[in-house]
Amino acid sequence: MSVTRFFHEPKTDGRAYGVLRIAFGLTAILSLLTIRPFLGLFYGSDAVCPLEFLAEWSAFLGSTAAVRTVWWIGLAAALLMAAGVFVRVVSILTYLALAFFFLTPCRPDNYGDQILVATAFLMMFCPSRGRDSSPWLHKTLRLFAGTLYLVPVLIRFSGEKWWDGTAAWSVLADPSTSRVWQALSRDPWTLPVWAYAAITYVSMAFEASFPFLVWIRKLRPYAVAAGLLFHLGMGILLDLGLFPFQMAVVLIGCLDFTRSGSLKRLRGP
Amino acid sequence: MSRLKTHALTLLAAVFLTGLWVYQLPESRVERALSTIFRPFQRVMFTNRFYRMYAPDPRSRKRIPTLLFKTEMSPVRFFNPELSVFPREKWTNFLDHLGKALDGEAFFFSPEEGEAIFRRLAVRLCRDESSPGDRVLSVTFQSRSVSYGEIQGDIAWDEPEVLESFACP
Repeated sequence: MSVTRFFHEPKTDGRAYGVLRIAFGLTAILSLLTIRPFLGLFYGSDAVCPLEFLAEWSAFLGSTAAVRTVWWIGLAAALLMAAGVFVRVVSILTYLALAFFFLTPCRPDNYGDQILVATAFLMMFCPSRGRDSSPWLHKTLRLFAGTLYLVPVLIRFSGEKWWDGTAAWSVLADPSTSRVWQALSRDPWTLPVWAYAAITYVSMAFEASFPFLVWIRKLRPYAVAAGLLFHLGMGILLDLGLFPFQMAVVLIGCLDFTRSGSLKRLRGP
Repeated sequence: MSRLKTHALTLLAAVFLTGLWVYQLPESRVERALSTIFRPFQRVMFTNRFYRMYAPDPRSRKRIPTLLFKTEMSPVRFFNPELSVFPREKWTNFLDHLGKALDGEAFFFSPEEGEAIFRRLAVRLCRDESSPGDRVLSVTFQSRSVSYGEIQGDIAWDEPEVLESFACP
């Protein structure tokens, strides 16, 4: 069937999945460490927004002790995932732990946290590191990343600020997320008008073209590198938590080493 | 890989991506019908809570929330928990979502849920932030509107507005 062939051909070198697994494991560790100061505040029966349905179901599951247990299990699982030990079992535990904390009614999450949990779901089915692995997960992540970029671009077509090139100002002057808003508040002319237009149009061009460029094998590493730089810049200028890391995991997952591709060339004949 | 496993993974990828795309569709009868079918899968795969309208907020006007106390020793004390860079973003997100609810805007919490969360938070702060001889008397959730829409214009702050207050028992 052509859909099956699309997802599973041509075979790929599974070591790219090893790189993805390490990136995912490390980001999951960071994500769990980030919520550690809030274990008693946001989660468990004494929290400001308790998971009532869990507490009704089982007093222990809703307790703070259970929350801490889930956190430690999740952290250990993410560590083992990054290390490549018992991958299938620990990927399930990592998904369950991330999902548990993502479902808190307190909602301290952002867009990136959801991307990480959705990726954690897919990682439970990540192919092993064999020489002839199916590329289905790389392809799914390319379509996933493409959707994450393309949908906001389509919505922005109706936004005046994106057409007139001033959207970058709106982002950088926003005191709730920008790291440079105070500098702009002191001197709004720190950057010339054309610089805001350039940032706006380059961002739009990247997001609109990535979903297509990532399917061209020769351009894929450049599209992914551009994406990593894009999110690095975003992470430096904006306080978006782990979002740049979480997007980096998806971008790394887009890369594969097809048997005739770059890895074989590097290794020689 | 066995043929069954290949087909199962194809189906998994197809359901994941279709669930993701269904959530992006504009509201319509088709979207409602597809959402009903895909909802259980979306919940498990977490493709159901994406911020569909994610893009820098075109309103160019934000409300910056702040928590402050009145104690026996000081009339105003801002609550700024000492957090490193990533946890601080989580705290900011929580305050932002709570502020929206207390302001009557249903976002992640309804206004009723927001009030209940604020009360529980205030009770905890009354207890945890009190020290001998400097008891916390009240906790206030304040929001300050800021506009920054005009390119290279002033970033203008309005007067803070009290959204909710709690007198410690």
